[in-house]
Amino acid sequence: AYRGSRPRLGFQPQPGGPARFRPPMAHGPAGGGGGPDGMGPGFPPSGPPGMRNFLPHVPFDFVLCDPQFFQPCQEAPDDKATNELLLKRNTDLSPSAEEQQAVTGLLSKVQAVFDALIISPDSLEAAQMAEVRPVGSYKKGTMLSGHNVADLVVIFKTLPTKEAVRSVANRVLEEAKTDAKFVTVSQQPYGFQVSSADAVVKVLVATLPANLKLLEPDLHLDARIQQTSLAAIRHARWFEENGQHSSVKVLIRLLKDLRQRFPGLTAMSPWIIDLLAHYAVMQNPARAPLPLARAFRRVLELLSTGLFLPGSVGIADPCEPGQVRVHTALTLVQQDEVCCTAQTLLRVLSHGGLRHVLGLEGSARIATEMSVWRGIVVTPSDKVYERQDEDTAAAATTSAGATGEGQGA
Amino acid sequence: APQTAYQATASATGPTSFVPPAPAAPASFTAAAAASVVAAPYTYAAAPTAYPAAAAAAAAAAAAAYQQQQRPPPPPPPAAPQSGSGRVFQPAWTTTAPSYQSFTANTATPAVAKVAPPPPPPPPPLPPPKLAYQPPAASAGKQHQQFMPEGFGGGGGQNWFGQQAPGGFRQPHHHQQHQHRHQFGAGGYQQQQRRPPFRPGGPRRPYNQQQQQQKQPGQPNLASLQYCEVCKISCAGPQTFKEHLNGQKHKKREAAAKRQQEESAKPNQKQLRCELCDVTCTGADAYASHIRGSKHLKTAKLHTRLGKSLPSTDPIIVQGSVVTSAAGANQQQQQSQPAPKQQQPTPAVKQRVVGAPRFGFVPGSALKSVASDEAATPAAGPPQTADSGAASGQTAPASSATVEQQQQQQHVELAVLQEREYVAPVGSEYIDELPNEQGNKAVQYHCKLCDCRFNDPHAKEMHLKGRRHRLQYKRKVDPSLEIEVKSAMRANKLEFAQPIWGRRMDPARVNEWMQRHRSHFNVGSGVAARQRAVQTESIDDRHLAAKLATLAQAEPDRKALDALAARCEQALRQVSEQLSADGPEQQQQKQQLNGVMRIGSLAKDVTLFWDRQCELVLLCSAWPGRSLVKRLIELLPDQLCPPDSGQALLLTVQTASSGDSLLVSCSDGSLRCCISLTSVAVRDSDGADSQAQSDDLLDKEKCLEALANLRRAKWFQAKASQLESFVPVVKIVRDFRRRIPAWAALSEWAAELLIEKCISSYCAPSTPSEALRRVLECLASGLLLPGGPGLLDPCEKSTTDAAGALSAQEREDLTAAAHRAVRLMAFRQLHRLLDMQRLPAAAEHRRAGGAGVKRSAAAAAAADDGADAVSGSGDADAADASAPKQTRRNSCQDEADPEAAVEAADEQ
Repeated sequence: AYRGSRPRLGFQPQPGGPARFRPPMAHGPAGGGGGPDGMGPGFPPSGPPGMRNFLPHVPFDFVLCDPQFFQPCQEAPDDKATNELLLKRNTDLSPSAEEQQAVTGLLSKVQAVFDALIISPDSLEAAQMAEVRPVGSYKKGTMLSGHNVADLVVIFKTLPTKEAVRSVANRVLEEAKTDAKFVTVSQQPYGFQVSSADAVVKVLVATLPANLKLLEPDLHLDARIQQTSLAAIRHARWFEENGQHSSVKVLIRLLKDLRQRFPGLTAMSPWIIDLLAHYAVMQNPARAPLPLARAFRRVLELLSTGLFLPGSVGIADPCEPGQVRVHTALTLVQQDEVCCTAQTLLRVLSHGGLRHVLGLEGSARIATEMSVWRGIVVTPSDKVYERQDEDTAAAATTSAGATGEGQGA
Repeated sequence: APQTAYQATASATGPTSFVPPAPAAPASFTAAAAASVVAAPYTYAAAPTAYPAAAAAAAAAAAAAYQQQQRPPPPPPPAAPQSGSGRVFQPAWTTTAPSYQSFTANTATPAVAKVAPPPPPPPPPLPPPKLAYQPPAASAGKQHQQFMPEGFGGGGGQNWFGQQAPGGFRQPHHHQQHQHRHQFGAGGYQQQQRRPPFRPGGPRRPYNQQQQQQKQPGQPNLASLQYCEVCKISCAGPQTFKEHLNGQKHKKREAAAKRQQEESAKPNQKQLRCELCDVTCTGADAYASHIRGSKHLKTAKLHTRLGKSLPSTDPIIVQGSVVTSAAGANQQQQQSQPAPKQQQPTPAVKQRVVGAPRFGFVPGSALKSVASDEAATPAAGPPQTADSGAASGQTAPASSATVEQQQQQQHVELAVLQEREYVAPVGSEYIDELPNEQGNKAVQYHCKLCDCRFNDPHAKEMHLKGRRHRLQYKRKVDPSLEIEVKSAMRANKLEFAQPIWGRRMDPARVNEWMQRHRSHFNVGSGVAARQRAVQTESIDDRHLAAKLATLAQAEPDRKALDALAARCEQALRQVSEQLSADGPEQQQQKQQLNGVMRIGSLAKDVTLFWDRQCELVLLCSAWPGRSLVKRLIELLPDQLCPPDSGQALLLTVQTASSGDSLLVSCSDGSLRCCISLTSVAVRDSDGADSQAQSDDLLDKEKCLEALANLRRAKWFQAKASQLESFVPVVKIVRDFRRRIPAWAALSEWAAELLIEKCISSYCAPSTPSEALRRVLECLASGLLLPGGPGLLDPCEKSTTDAAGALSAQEREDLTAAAHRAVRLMAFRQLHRLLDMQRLPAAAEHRRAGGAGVKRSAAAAAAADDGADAVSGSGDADAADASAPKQTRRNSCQDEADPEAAVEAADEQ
């Protein structure tokens, strides 16, 4: 028999289209499947077993509450003095014109080198570059004084081997040396770093997202670091669209300063701080930016109520697919620490310790030691998280039969 | 006679298909082609007497084929065509031949096929060994020289082209194919079974035809060979053949063939088609490999054995769904003409590509010279139809020029097609040549990228250009290599993947969704989801339930307290009647008792195990004085314990320590009932009035407090008692207030108000644990701290802070306690907050009925960590990319399905 002497049916357009290419829930006009709630029969329940009903807890927030419930009993205190103090602190934290200039100068030099490489790719064989983008605090305009670091993400078309990065770094060094005296280049896990006397430019090397899965750990730069570099581009773009209000920027600077001074807040990454500041200023029913003083207090309130504690809805990362809560990047210990510190600071702030919180006077010990404000004793919150491993071990050893189970758990 | 028709068809297709694609085996091929092609002109030219029969037979065959088309699959052959198309031929039969003759002519087909299978089985046409894209001109001349000496191809072709060209050149090849197929498939072989194929007494056959056919070299006896035209297979015997015809596979194929007629190919996609095997290939490479392939060879061999003409191996371009063409119309037109005349069997003029670019095109001058020879002959031949009459010597060159043009067009078309799909082979350096294991000359090729082997250099070439190989090359060698997206996949991508991805990546939209999402939680449209969560108790809820069970008041105690309150109420009512009955006239107004009402925990049904006291408020019509209290003390005992009632429990009535309220206590001291006196007059009275009567009247503050308590009790009944989870949380907070010093400062009323506000501002139904967590969070966010909003009292006319009595230090302590409690709850240590033993995790709880403690702690820890330690995409910002990476917990993910999350978002 002459099998297959007819054209395969696959060549012919089929009326319904191949169903298996359709995503399980396509809500186009042609969709139509599934029940009224869109969950057709057989749709797998989301989440692992045991957590199918996990619903994130929405922490309490005065601003988001219906105003009828928590009307202030007394006149709102005048925020003017607080505002002025916050702005003054912001000015202190902002980089001076010279610092700004130094960073800008170095960055523009480095960027010029990359622009030239992109325009004439043949001039360097080791790597081909797709684009170069400034990211990070320099790009966002939230740099702190004394931290003259600008970040630049360079996207390679080719796979970034360590040798390629080195040759690019050397090229940058050659070019930069022609008109600047003390420029050094050092290779880093994320790419390389160009340092002059008073400024640093970090060049984060990444490859095109499509190439990420081709990376090999030994040969190329770490894929994880490259992913964060790519994420930094998204963050910069997001910030450009959402974070342009001056209150947001001021608040970010103040929070970064808090993070530097209070060890308990170190775990908060700059991206979390960006999101938190934006949330505190912008996330309110009126969709109008809150005054700075209110927003600053709100940040501490939010952290105190456990916005970044386990089970909380937190803040969803706008630059990641899905509904990823940013605070889940912190360990439980870190979450506890952040919450603890913020709670203590909130109480200190409420009892008149704004200058101490801002670091205008006093020390960072207010977060960890008992302090007295106008006769009121503020006791710092203590950490409550403890690992359950001891219990686990005890349970596993006490009952011999349950040893395997205990390890399994 | 059908044989003639068949041969005519073959000859018509001959010229175009003629230029063989195989320089390797030109001789054999041309021999085969010559046999078929030569037959046609010969028949028509030299046997005018036979011609009508032949024409009628052809028409009958066409009609039969047409009917086949209308009624698939193989029906019995029509004795007399009844369909519309059959009527067209009716005159032909009646006028030129008796019906019997036409019938036999029709059924004689198998006989002819059997007796004289036409040309000797030539070796199947070999395809060109090379696939190279040579310029057409290079081989054209050579081709011409190679074949022109034979001298027949061009001539036959010229003639037919000359006749067909004016009517239009294109012909729906599907239709043609179908007709051709059914001549043999159904009409032929079923008849053959019933009737001996060749009978001496049968219809007379044109002599020359017979002769010519019998002259063919000896053939294998094909009487037993059953051939299915649709499926292109042969069957061993009639039984098998019958079974095949009734089989599923055959029917499927037939249906597919029919469908294919309607929609032949995808629009906007050119395909190359092998007519012999009825296979459509998407590209020139694929076509070439098909021609080389064993399947094609087999089919060709079978056809040769059956004595069928072999269509050219040149590809036919199938384009879009446009299959009907002028040639089809032409055919119709010819068929509708009166048949007796020299109706020509419709030559199948298909859109044929001559030799593709590699072979070039037979130059027109050669055609002309042959055509002129041919043009001289028609005088001897039968008279031409009006159409074909034009194909005389003068018109022939012109029409051949048209043919040329069309052929050239096709060349360009095919060249473009090949150009478009031409892909440069990549990664040839990854092909290893391996010596064959058997040690013979054949070389094996091994592609290291794709890990596959080939025996054939052509296969290797194909592989190097193939999509799979290119994908591998892109993946492993050069990511920048561009690979054409498959059309099916492309459509999918455009339809589904791209928009979804676009939605997901658009930060503005994600942001918007987030905000909707958040407001959804605050406004509470996720009721259904939340209720689902409520149904399955969380571990916190079980802790709370266990704690509440220990806190609950024993039922007898609660009943006793309730009974005491009820007795007091009843007694007061009786006293009230007594007072109004026997009171002095002038005091009647004043001493009137308006009513009595329960307040406190008993009224709210939040009594706990330590509650031994109930509270009542006695509302008087006027500001109550101490005299009234004394009078009540006199009157009440009689009503509470009437001598005749025989109450076991003796109650004593006394004034409270301050002397402002009554205290009814049981003789054993276990239960007490506190009765406060008040009046709305107290609130309304101005200061001067109260000063004047200060001696006798009760303390104003106490009275106002009792009034406020009345309002709060009413407020409670109106608003709070309806709230889900309210009562449990109030009980828990009562427990806090009793146990934890920092909480003790919070008044009962402030606590209730706080809880009510927290729960009702949540809107969604909440479990007790959620409500409690929210209350704690509310305190933790600095509600009571300086700068916080405080608790606005709804039961007061003026703006009052229900928690205003708290000192600054108390506020601070209470907030600090709440701070700690929030974290305890978040880290699943509610048992520490509640001061109780930890309960086993949910799974354990279910399995062991709450008794299993074996690995309870371990399971609880695992469950907690699973629910809480959710891995996310941690972010180290650019500035911190160098900082040591935070350790991440990847134990679990609660948003396990980002797709589902996004789609849920879309739904909303």
